[in-house]
Amino acid sequence: MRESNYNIWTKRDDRYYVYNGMSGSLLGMPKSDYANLRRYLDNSNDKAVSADLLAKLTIGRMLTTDDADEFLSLRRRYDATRHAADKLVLTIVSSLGCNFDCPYCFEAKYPSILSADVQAEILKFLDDQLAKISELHVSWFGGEPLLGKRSLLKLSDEFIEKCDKADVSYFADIVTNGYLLDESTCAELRQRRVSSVQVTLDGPPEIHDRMRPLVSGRGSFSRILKNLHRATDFLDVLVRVNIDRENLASAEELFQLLVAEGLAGKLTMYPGQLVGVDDGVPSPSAKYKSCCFTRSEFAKAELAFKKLASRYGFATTSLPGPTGAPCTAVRANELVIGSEGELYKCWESVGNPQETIGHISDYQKSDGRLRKWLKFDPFEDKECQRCIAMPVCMGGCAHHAMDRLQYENRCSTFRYTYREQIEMRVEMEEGNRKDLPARRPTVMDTR
Amino acid sequence: MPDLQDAHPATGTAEARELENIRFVLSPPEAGEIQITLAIGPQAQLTPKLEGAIEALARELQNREIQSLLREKCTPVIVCNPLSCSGVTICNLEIGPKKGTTA
Repeated sequence: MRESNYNIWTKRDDRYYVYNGMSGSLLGMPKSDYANLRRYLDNSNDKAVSADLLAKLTIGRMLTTDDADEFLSLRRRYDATRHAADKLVLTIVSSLGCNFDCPYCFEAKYPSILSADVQAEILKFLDDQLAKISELHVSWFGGEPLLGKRSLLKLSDEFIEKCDKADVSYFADIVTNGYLLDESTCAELRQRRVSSVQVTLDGPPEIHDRMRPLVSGRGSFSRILKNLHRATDFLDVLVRVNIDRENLASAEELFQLLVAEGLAGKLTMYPGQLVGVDDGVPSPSAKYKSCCFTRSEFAKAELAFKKLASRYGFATTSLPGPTGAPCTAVRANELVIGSEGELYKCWESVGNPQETIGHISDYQKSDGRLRKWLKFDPFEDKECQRCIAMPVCMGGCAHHAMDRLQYENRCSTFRYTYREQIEMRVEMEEGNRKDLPARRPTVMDTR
Repeated sequence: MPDLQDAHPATGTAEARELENIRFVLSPPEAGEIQITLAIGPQAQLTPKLEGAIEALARELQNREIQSLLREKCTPVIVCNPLSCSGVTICNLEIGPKKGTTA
């Protein structure tokens, strides 16, 4: 028996902890057991080790056989999930147009609502798939998807009816700027089985309004905040805070403001990394580079953000768990459908005509651009081959990995702050919380 | 194992911690894993037989990984080790010693 290559050890008080990326499990043990284990692994003739510990370490994948090829196991996981066909995941752009004018937006947007013809093509596509799947998951995306609310609601009704008839489970979520997310809209979404919403607040009002203004130039913070109060009654609300070198310091002011509004414990807060992407299309992001963190800098900023969010009583994303193929771009049965019926593999490609892979009306004839996504192989990447984050990252963002300028941004932040992330989780689970606010934060696991 | 010299210094209280034994802070995922209840008491000695059984379990976890990843419903399977064969249920992991029992 030997240790897994994906074990990460840490210590708190007199207890030792080991996290394993293959299983996502975290095992704690007394110092004496750790010492006996150490001796056993150095010399298997030393039998003072607890059999209970060895069994748990084995079940947690922290111990494996001498001849186990864990990297091959990961490759199999990746391939199995990449080609899993029982689940269909669609990201649908109900409106490419947007009522915001964010200086870092990666999309080249123009007003375009999902037409009746494209809706009909999507339904025809679903009819062709229903017999092969057990689950349909739809993410509503934009532009600003609520500018296309009528088509969103109409398609949702059709999806639900078809899935229910076919005994296919239906799930949905939405990514919106939150400006149009009033109470009646929340109720309408909930009725259409939209369970969670991602809204973005980039700081307290002054900073948010500079980073996420309306097209008219006016601010958007106060209306989004008002909407969040209602949204939490209907939906799970995730608040993304896009951070760069300029606005990170304002995160605490945002937390304080949200606590004062009574939203602590009702929101999940997480940071997003701003990157300047220049794909050759005239998106605002092509000019937004100067303030961006490098990936390793962002990883540290993310950690600080999450610790702070927890202290203020907000849920936040925690340790990443083991995964297969990490996103829509590299999974065969997942598609991004643009507002004109054009197909993409990556969310970041929306609005970029150079990245379309076909059209929904003729979806079986995807062009050669699909190949680059389905042939993308992180297991050939020399850094991934020796990276401790591989089981939870699986190569990370393929879009960035294939872009020379964004290559360093492809990785999970786990690569850079894995020990601190594990220590934070141990502290949350085991720690004495007397120094924290009375409300114990709920930690959402990303698994 | 890594050198733990750089581990952060202890920050919390140690009260009652020593009373706790070996336990999962985060359990292995419920779906797609193998359920096995090992009849091992907390104080069990590591015998060659038991060591062999644990190694067999490790091998079985490896071998069955992909099948269990793709499995949709909980399906009973039989896992054999040098000691015995036992019923195993996919999708619902339950681990831990049975108090007062030994291998």
